Amino acid sequence: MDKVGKVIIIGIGNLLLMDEGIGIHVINELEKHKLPENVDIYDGGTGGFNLIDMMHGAGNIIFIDAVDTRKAPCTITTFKPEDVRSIYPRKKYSLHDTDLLEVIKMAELLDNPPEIEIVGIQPKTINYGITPSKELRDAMPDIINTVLSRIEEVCSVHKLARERS
Amino acid sequence: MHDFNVDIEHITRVEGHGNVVIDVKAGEIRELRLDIVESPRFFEAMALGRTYKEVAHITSRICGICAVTHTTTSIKAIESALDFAPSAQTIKLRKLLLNAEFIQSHILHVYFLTAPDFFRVGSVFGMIKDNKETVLRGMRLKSLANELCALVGGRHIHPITLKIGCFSKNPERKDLIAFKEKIIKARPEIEKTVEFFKNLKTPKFERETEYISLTCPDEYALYDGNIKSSDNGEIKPADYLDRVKEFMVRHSTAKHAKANRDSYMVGALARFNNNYKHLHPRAKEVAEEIGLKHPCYNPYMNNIAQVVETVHCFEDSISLIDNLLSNGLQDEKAELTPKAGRGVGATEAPRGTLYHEHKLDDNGKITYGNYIIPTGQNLANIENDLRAMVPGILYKEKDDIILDIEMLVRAYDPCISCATHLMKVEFVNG
Repeated sequence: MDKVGKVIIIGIGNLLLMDEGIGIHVINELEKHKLPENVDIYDGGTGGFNLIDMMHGAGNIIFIDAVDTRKAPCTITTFKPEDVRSIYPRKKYSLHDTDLLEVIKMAELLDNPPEIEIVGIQPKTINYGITPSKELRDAMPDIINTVLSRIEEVCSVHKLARERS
Repeated sequence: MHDFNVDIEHITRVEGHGNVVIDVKAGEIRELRLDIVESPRFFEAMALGRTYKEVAHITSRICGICAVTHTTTSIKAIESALDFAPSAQTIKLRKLLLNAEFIQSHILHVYFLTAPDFFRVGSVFGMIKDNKETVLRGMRLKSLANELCALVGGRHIHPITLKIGCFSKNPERKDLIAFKEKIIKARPEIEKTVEFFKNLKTPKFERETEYISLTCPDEYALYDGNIKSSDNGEIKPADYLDRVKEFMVRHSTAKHAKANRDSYMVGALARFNNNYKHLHPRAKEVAEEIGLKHPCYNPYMNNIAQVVETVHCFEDSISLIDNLLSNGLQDEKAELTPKAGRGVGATEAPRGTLYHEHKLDDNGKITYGNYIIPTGQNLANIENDLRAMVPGILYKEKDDIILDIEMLVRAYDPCISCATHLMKVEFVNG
């Protein structure tokens, strides 16, 4: 698979904190679907900067994560890193405070950095528990449809690019 | 500066964090505290009522950076409760996986969190302009460690082959051979890492304290061993509560801990002080080259001890791979019989000794859990270091005092909020 054609989907979050782990729950759900052969899916957990090593060799990356956009619970917002206000640099005492935008910023150092977008899901409840809130469980079909349509669109752009070349 | 008042707020996206509050009047410290205001952790409660087979899956998710250590410690607690002894091969594979986590975690810490302080650039992103190759070297070494983690653990974040009793899948022989060659090829990068940190000027400050770590008679203890205090010798892991005394303080929702004194240190420097003689010879040479003398009472040197341990873990991984290859890897199965019992697992995490204790009922269901993480054990010691250090640096400019304080806290490589990583965003055109 050439690099340009590789699409990597990475769900992130903490599975022990209900809706915080929604990205992983989406990945588990995606495993039940037949995806195009140029698409890989990964459970990125709370890997911080180690997520960069999942990003090698991709033309496109779609992250799925719980994101506080101050909207209603379950709202799905698809955005690119450049759509978000810069938060660098900031004080840090712990590597455990690394957030996704910092990981993405660091990934710009990779050779041929990938195109990145984020499917952000507004959480309802973040508390101790290994299942998401009922609201997010009910919203799962919509979330999956959004992710699948993003995959379809990214893959069709690749197909078009290949046909033109 | 006779008066000094600072509240170094930790700006971040979630509400759990360490704020340093210091109030000095006429050269005397009136107040000094490291506020930890994160939500209390209830991971033990999540394990209750589950079977012994499920618990490691839960604990592996407590932390993405220390997932191998949490999983290993959890498994060891269960195996101990069920009186099960894993095979020599399984223990070697676990040690190899732990080495991968130590290298990955230490490299991330020293390159991404510690190094920017020496250039006064605020964060690793500030180093990219003038020290891009250094940052890239850190990324390459981290990737190498992650590759080892994936080779043994099935994937490099939250490994999946690490099970109670044995590994669910062994690494391929040819992959182990290839990986050993990669480590050997990476030696110049490791040497450059040593050279880089040798040339950074670590603040001078000494305060001897009690150092606690695991210890083994015949190796540098990371995977297993007795609990050793530099003050009063060794005890068995099962007796950990005789040594580790947790207590609450008003200003922190995280528990503090003490042992023989009112605080103690865990982590790379504690291990270096307690187990120096078992370091790999190359790691000992590096310690000398880089100016880390045994014993060392400068907590800032914890970062340098992490560099030394990185060298040790790379070299030890070569030995472990050679050993596994010469013995041949066997597919293993483990049968454990549920029964009532109590088990304690103690393992060195990159940041210090991690304890998991579980009690099981007759059916192997969890009836009790207690996890003690390294950072909680270090909090009281960080405060004592600050109390001893701050009066001696009051002659400096305020910004320099703040940097010295921040560097000290960071030197402990704290795991302040590994529980939640929710991203809050504000859109440019929102």
